[in-house]
Amino acid sequence: MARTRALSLVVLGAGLLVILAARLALPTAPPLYDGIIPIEPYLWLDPPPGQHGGAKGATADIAVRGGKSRLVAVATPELEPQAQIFAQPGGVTVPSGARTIKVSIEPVASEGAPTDGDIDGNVYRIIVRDDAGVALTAPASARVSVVLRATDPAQGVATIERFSAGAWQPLKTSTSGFAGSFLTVVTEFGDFAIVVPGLGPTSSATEASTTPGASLAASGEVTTATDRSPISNAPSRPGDAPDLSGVLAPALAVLAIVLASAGIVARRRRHHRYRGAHPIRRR
Amino acid sequence: MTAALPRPPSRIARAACLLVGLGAVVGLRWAATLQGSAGAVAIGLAFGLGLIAVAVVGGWRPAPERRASVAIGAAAGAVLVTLAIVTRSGQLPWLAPAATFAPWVAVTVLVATAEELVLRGALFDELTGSIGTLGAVLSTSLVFALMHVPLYGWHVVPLDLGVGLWLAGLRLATGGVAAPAIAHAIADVATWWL
Repeated sequence: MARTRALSLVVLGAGLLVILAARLALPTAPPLYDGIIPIEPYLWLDPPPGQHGGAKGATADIAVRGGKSRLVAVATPELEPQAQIFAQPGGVTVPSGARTIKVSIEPVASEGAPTDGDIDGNVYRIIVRDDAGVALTAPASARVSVVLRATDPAQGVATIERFSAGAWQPLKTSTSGFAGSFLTVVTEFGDFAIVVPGLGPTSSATEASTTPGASLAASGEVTTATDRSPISNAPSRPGDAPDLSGVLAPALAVLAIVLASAGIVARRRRHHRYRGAHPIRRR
Repeated sequence: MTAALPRPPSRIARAACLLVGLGAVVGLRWAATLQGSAGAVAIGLAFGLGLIAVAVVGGWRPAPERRASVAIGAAAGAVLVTLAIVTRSGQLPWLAPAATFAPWVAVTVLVATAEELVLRGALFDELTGSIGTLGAVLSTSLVFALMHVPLYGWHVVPLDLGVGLWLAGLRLATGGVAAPAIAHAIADVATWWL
C-alpha cells in the first residue's frame, strides 16, 4: 500500500515535469489534451476527385479606437478553420483618420507554383485595408499571425509561403497546435498557402494560372517572419524534421528518474517485507 | 474421464487484444474524420461508444470508488487546466469550436471517460497483472500519447506522455478510474474556453 502510494506520487510528479517541459519547449502545442476536436474534411476551392468542395472565405470589420486597431481574429468557417489571421490590439498599423479596418480571407486560384514543393490545399488571399481602401501592414513586433490548415490533420512538416514578386517565398513556419495547422508571423498580407515537400500535385490550385495580373501580395518584399518563441523547435523550411530533442531529452530523463525511483522503492519494500516475514534472519 | 478445459488467455494476451481493439477504434475514427463521413460530434459519439465496448469486452467492470476520488479528480483536472493557461504563449487567440456547446460537452466527457475506462481501467489492470505496476504506468501513458498522433500529429507526444503519466498517477493514488476520468474530462471540456 505504502509502495503504491509512493509510486503514485513519483508518477504524478514525473507527469507534471513532463507536461511542463513539453509545454515550455513547444509553446504552440495544443491547449488541450484530447477531446472532440471537430475537424471537418478539408474543403477545396477546386476539389480533386473524391474530395470536398465549397471552400469559404471570411470577412470582418474591425473597429479602430484611439488610432489603434482592436483585436483581429478572423477565421474561415470550417472546423478547424482552414485560414485564420490574428492580430493583437494595436497590431495593425493604422493611418490617422481611419475608423475601421476591413479584413478578408478568400480562397483563390494560385497564380504560380512553388519551386520548392507543392501547394497543399487552397491558396488564401488575406487582405487588410482601412476604410479608404489602403492596404495596411503590421510591424514585426506586433507578431501578427496567419494560420493555415493542411489537408491532412497529421501533416507534420510544411511551410507557409507567400506569393510575392511573381514567386512563392517561404516564411518561417511553426506548428500552431493540431489538425495539421501551421502558423507564420507576417508584416504584410497577400496570397498565402501551405507548401509541402515532395507531395506531387495535390490540388488543381497548384497549377500555374495563365491569367495575367499581379497578385495582391506582389507589392513589397517578403516578410521575414520571426518565430513565436525563441525556444520553439518548429521546422523553418521544407524537409526539416520537427526537432523534438529539446522535449524528448527531459522527458527521457524524467522517465529514467521514475524508473530508478520506482526500482529503489520496490527494492526497499521487498527487503522490508522479507525481513519482517523472517525475523529469525535478523541475527 | 474428463475433458480438458480450454485455458483462459493469459493477461498479456488479453492486453494485446485490448490494444488491437483500441487501435481499430482509433483508426476508424481517423478514417471517418478524414473522409468526413459524419459530423464531428457523431464521430466522437461513435468513438466513445466504441471505446466503452472495447473496455467492457476487455474485462472492465464498474467497481466501488473511494469517495475522495471525485475531489482528487477535480483537483487534478484543475491542475491540468492551470498548466495549460500559465504556459500558453498568448500569441494566438484560440477560437472556440463553432459547435453547439451541450452536445460537444456531452461527447467530450463521454470520450474522456471511455478513454480512461480502456487505458486506466481494463488495460491498466491487465498490464499490472502481467508486467507489473510500473510497466502498466509507462505502457498506458505511451499508448495514450500515441493514440492521439493520427489526429494531432507527432508533436503532441511529449505533452500527452506527461498527461498520461499524470492520469496514471491518479489511477495509482485512488485505485480506480473515477479520478483520472474526472481530471481528463475537466481538462478536455476546458478547451472550449482556452
